[in-house]
Amino acid sequence: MANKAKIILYIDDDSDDREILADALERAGEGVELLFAENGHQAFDFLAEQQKNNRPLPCLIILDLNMPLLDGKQIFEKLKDDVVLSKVPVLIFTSSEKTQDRAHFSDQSIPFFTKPFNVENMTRVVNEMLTICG
Amino acid sequence: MKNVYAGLPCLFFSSTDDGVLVEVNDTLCHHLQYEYTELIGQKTEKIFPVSTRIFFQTHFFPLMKMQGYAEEIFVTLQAKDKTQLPVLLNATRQPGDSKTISLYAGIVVRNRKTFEDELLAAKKAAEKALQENTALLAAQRELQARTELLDQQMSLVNKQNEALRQYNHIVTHELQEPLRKLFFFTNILVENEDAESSNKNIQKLRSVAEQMRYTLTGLQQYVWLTETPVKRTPVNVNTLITSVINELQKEAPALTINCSAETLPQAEADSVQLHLLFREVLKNAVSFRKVDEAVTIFVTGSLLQRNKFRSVAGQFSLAPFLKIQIRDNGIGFDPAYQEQAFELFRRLHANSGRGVGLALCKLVAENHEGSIQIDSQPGEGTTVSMLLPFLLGDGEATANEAKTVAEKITN
Repeated sequence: MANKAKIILYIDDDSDDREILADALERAGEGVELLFAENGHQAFDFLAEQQKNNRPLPCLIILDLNMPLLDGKQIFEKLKDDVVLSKVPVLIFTSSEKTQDRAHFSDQSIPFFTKPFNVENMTRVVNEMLTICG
Repeated sequence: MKNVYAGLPCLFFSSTDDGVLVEVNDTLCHHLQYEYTELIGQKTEKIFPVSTRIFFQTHFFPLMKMQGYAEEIFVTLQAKDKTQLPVLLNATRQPGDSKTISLYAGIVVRNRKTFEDELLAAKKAAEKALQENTALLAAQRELQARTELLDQQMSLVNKQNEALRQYNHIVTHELQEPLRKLFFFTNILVENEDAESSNKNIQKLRSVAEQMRYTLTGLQQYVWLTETPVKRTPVNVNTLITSVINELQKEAPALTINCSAETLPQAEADSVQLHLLFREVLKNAVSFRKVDEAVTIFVTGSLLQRNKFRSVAGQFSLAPFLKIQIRDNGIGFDPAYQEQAFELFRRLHANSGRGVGLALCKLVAENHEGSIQIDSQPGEGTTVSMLLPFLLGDGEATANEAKTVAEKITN
């Protein structure tokens, strides 16, 4: 079946974490294309470009919280304010253990994952991500 | 004679040196209840009570003889019914053909005591008011001093709260992040026997350990600046900036660093902390330079008055501050993020070091009751403006010197 490639957009300033997630997705072998943005500006530029050229939007946006310039919460609010982009599922993927951060997103039914300490958990998280992508 | 003094609104009498009344006027007669004829030719003792007689002989008359007159002498006269009449007398002596006559004019001062009492009471009230005023002024000064102390303590509490917030961020994020990675890469290393992958992970572990070391060094400096007391001495800002530029030039000999600085007055600051501040600001100018362009730094200064109170609202006390601006020709950044620039471990550029520098600069400025601000535009360089206490010694000379310096550097 000639599947139209699904895109996951991962916004994180940490290159190690980008690499870890890319490896885990590759191991999952689901043929999902993972695209990265180092910060919110890059991400919004990319999303605007996709819409302008009638290219598919991501099936999931994975968002880190602690980032320079726009942080994860600010990016999330901007996405929510956009008629089209607000329909794209968002998932929080962070090293933050703060209860208030978790509560903030749980209140809005946004999946919240802390970054795993080992490969096994990473695989579990990636599977959850792929489930959201459908 | 009698006609001349009759009807005068004052008492009048005259006497010879041996105390015989030569003339009296009707006002005197009226007050003392005598007929004119009852007094003329009589001794003055008739109208003087004992106390006045003694005073007259021992003081009044000797004074008259000596200087020829007496003024504002308070005596008591005695009426026919022995009542006493307080009188204020002026007297002169007139040499006559045969005898010298003393002339006395007086006014009745029955109310003098009342006036004196009132005057005394008024004086006491004034003294009391003065005392209260002095007490009030002292209380005001005390209040001012205590408000200043309160402001200092509130600023300290604010600073410590901010430090706690930063520590919390470091513990929950900046240290958690590398710790998680240490676990993650170690786990991969343990599970994976592929040599190539192992080498890669070992490199990762090294880089994470390095990141932790950076974080802890930054934290150490932050704690040091939060806790170490500020040792204020006169600091030559120009010399300090030049020495920092020389250090940076030595560290990056391939770069061209130009610096043009106005002559700045001395600041009153902790020289070690100020060195750190200038080093971080100038290091940023070098780090965020434009590619293929020499680093150019402009340093300017001005003097201004600023409210010393930082935490207590509604209180004002102006103190002189030196405003130093360091402008560079670097890549700049979006002004929307200028507040974030001062947060500990906050980086505005990818791979831009530890993100500690400006947070430390802010602490240094605040340690000196000063402030720091950053203005930038992408591609148009960055200007860091800081306010530091201006060195003001005692005396007018220094104030004038300050004025002259202010004029010089604002021109």
